[in-house]
Amino acid sequence: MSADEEMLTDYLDGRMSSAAKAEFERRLGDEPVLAHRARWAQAMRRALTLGVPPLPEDLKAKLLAQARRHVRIEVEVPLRGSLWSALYASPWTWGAGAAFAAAALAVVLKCSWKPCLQSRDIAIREKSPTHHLSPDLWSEDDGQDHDK
Amino acid sequence: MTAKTMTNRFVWVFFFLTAPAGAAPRRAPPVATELFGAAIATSSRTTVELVRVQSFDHSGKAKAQYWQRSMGPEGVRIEAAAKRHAPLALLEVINSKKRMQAWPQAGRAWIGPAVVTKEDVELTMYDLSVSTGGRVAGQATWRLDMRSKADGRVRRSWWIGKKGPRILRREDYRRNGTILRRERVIKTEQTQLGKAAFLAEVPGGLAVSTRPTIWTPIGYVPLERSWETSQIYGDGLRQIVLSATRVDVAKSSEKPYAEVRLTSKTVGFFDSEDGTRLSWRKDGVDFTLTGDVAEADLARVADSVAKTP
Repeated sequence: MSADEEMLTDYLDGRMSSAAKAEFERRLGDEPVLAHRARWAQAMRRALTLGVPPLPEDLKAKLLAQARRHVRIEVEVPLRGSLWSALYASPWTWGAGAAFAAAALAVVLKCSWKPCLQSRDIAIREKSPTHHLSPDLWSEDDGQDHDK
Repeated sequence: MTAKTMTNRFVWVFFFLTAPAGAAPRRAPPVATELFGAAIATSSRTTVELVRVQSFDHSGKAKAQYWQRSMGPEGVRIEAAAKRHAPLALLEVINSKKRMQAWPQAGRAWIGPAVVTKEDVELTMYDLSVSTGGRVAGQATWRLDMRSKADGRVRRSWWIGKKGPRILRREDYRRNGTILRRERVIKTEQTQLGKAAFLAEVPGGLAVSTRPTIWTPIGYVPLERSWETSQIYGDGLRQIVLSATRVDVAKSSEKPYAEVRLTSKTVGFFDSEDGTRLSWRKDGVDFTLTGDVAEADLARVADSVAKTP
């Protein structure tokens, strides 16, 4: 969405500050193309959204509660401080660290003989544009009626 | 001739004379408009059907979808999947107040008001005729053909059960006569489906958007808005594009191949590279609908666009 489109959307939604709104209205007076688009956008918006009721309150509350359950509260701790505090939190931490280092060394030595990660293991999924529906909605068909 | 031969002949003549009278009388076809009205009326009983939907491109190549369609006084519920036992691809519930569409694979859902349109738009656009339709899903049917008033060609056919006036099969055709879409009931059963099945509630975990207040055929979800002057709806194969543009003088001289008077406006139909184009003008704005979909469906979309933009 271009900057003008964003501004037009904000203008129609009434989300502009009074200064920005005044400036945008001045541009509407000066720029006929923008003014035309604004008029069509208003006509289309009125045509399509007249009488749209808001989402039901119970649905909103349900979704909000669901979102809250998934929110993690994270406290920012400096990286260096958090590393030292983690290491000194328990004597076992040093042992676990040593074991991890030994395992990593073993993997590196093994991979020096034979590559561990083949290119075929890497699957890259292209993200389809949002306006295309997934092909999983339909299957191939023989076109026959099958009704005798 | 012996007495025995005479008796035999008498018996055979008696049989041939009386047999037609004893056979079941042939039913005369119903009046087309009455059959149409009965077919679109809401049933008081809830029915669950397995429906095979086929969508054809211009070359006749087909794609299919399977619907479990539940219909009753509370509304309509469609559970669509690409194959018969494939996971749910699209869930749609339409009741008297709301329409909800959920697309679980994309994590999206839309909910908005149920939009009432001119349900009998076919009566305005087509001439109707009835003939015997053969058997569909094990039931004898009447075939209702709808011929364009403009060129006399069949655009839409319904096969309606003789026992209960339900549409068991429907086909849509393009202007050039090629088949566009077929829906056919494979299996039907009477079940006790609770009212909860027809509540338009969004399943959890989906991003919910408000559905625009226009009618679209079942399975068409809102896809994209561009500069707020166009809306695109799609079912995975076809698209319906609604756009609003400044009045184009060049287009004003084009003659539509058909014109139809809807509830609040008269619309013209034109051929288009993308299928059929339907347009109307309001307050210096040309509204255009294009799509490779049935004419009557485009007309219903147009009828649902607000009356005073």
